[in-house]
Amino acid sequence: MIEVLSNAALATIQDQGRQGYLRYGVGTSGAMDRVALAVGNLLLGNPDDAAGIEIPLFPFRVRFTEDVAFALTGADCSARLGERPVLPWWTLQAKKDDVLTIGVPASGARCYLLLKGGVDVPIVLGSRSTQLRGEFGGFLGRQLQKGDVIQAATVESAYSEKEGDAAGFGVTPPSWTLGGLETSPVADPADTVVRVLAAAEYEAYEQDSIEAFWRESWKVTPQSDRYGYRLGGPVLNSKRPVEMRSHGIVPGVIQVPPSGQPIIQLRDAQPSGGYPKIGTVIEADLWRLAQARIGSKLRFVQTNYEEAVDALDELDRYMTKLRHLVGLHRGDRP
Amino acid sequence: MSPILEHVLDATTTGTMTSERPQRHVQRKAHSMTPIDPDQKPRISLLGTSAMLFEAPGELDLRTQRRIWALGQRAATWEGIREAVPGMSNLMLTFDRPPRQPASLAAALNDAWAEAEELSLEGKTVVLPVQYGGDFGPHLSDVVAHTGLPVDEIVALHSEPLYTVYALGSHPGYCYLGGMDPRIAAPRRKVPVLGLPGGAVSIGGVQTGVSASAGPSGWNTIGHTDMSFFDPARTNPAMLAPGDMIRFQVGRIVR
Amino acid sequence: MTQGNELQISELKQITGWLETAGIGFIEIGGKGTVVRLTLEGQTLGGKSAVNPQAAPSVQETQVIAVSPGVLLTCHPMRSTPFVEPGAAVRQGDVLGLLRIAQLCLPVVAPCDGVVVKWLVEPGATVGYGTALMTLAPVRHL
Repeated sequence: MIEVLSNAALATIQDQGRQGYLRYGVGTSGAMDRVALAVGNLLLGNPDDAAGIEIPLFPFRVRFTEDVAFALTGADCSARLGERPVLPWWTLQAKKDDVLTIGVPASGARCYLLLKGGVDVPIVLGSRSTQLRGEFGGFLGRQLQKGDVIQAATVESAYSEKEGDAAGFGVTPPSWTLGGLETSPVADPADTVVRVLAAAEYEAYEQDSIEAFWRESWKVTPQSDRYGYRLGGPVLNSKRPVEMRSHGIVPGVIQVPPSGQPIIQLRDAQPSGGYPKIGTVIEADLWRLAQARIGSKLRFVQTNYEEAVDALDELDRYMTKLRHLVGLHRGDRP
Repeated sequence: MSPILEHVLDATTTGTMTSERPQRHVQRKAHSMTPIDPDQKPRISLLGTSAMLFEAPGELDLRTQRRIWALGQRAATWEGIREAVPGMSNLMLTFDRPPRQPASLAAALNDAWAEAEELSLEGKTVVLPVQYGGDFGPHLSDVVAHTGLPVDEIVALHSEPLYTVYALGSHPGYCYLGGMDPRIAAPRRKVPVLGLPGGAVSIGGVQTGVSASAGPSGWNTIGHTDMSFFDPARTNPAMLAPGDMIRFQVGRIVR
Repeated sequence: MTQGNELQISELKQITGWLETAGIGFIEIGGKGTVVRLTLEGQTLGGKSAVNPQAAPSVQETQVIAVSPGVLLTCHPMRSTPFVEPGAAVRQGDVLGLLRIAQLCLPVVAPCDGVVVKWLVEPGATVGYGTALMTLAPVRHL
């Protein structure tokens, strides 16, 4: 359905993740920006578990080998289908031999290319997500390369392009509804703000380290990717050296190795670890993190469990509303 | 606000747990329980809204680990729990949906722990030939430096025990092993090392393990073994399971 | 056919007439490999006087009509530069703006090749189905 024209692009096939195999050492993988993936599937009327392509490096070009509807969500990548601009958070019909060029985003770090029917790769251990460490799942367990041909599941469809459909349609980006989060008045508006729940070793840190953790902005260093974001900023000191027993962790956990520079474990992180944890970025804000570029700054805002669960509910309500709106619009078509 | 959940036992926390929640008054079987030390309570904390972590007090030993296995088997059946993931004398419960009353879940975990009997998972024994040192054991010298022991003694102490697989984690098929001699303990590295090959045998703190695929590690890599630990095509994809046993056989020592 | 790439003299007359009426002093029209720049003497740039149908009865104009209700957006929510500016050449099917209904964004599409004259509705205004949103000066063989 599409042929990859770009090389060394770090693009991978992802769905919402591989659940239930942590006890075998298999992390969940899945989209870094789950909201972008979910909205892309909504725009196409795909099942929620449909897989798409996560694109973290630009430019990225693909050629459509057949007519198919696609959606592009996430960062605004100045995309073009042939000569025609493709808007962000949009769905459009591509024709055979159309070339989609995804350019360098002005802001944001990742975009998602979804195909009608979902990317068709085998389900391994319950998911189509790419398990890079284990070299399975997704497209042959690896990142996409030039020449790869990716199929979409064929969909029974009586859909015929109507007049006026040729330009497609879209939705506002999540930040438009869910907004940025409040932080101190001195913060740079370009900083990505995320909410953090204290973790078990929070109280093991020196008071001035704890204050610095919340007050300072943290740089996303170049050693940041799907495994985790390594942050640059003040050194965080524990009151005593902490050597822990290996225990399960989840995406969002902020570990502090002896260097004192925190690492936010993300979708391809090890499912367990032994470094002390100062906090966990809440699940509801991981999509924001996914769009923070290398070189940009993060800020942490302290939250409590109830607020964090409310934030997940807010995300659910947003998705339900979008599903309803898009469903109404798509209502006269499959 | 403390990140550690206190064990609250009162009428208001009966909340959302199912009838699986155990009775308060329990007949404790002395032979299978570690002595109750009032200062040594389990530590329970949250990992955001995604999971709860239960850390057992006391020694990192087979008796504690067997009770963790029992706790995990039981908690895995509780409503709202996606998976029970044993670690080294600890257990992580991941949520399908975050519980509105985490204190209730914490209470249930504490109660279940108090009742947990050692689960005997006696599995197979696997012998792994290991090449210690050389290119495949780049951090053996760091363990020498930390412990003050010569290479031969470190290798002898590492290969002597029959290790039990306590848990899997870290990456597909990776086994955390229990039973390492504390004399060869060496702290995790300040900065994790990238690109270590599959089959790497390493020491992290008081633990040892074998990696199942290439990747980064914060542990001290002392040797290498050839073994297939994971096959995603199988229903039970990991070759080794908690309760299986490993003996390291010294193949070679490269100095 | 070479005719396909050239502006007809009659079309040029129409455009200059419209430019005068609209008070726009400069326009650049690009087609395949061709760019035509017109500058009118004595006009200021970016003038915004209303189109006076009496002054140029021969100027063809078409209106872009809303195909749904919604809030008119002249920029995409993630961007600050408008889709089009007055004077811009557009092709049939180009997105001129968006109609936003809650989070849904529907495109306002050019019904033909042409030149943007002006928006008839303020950005951010709520419009109904059938509201005239924009005047476009159709141009053949752009």
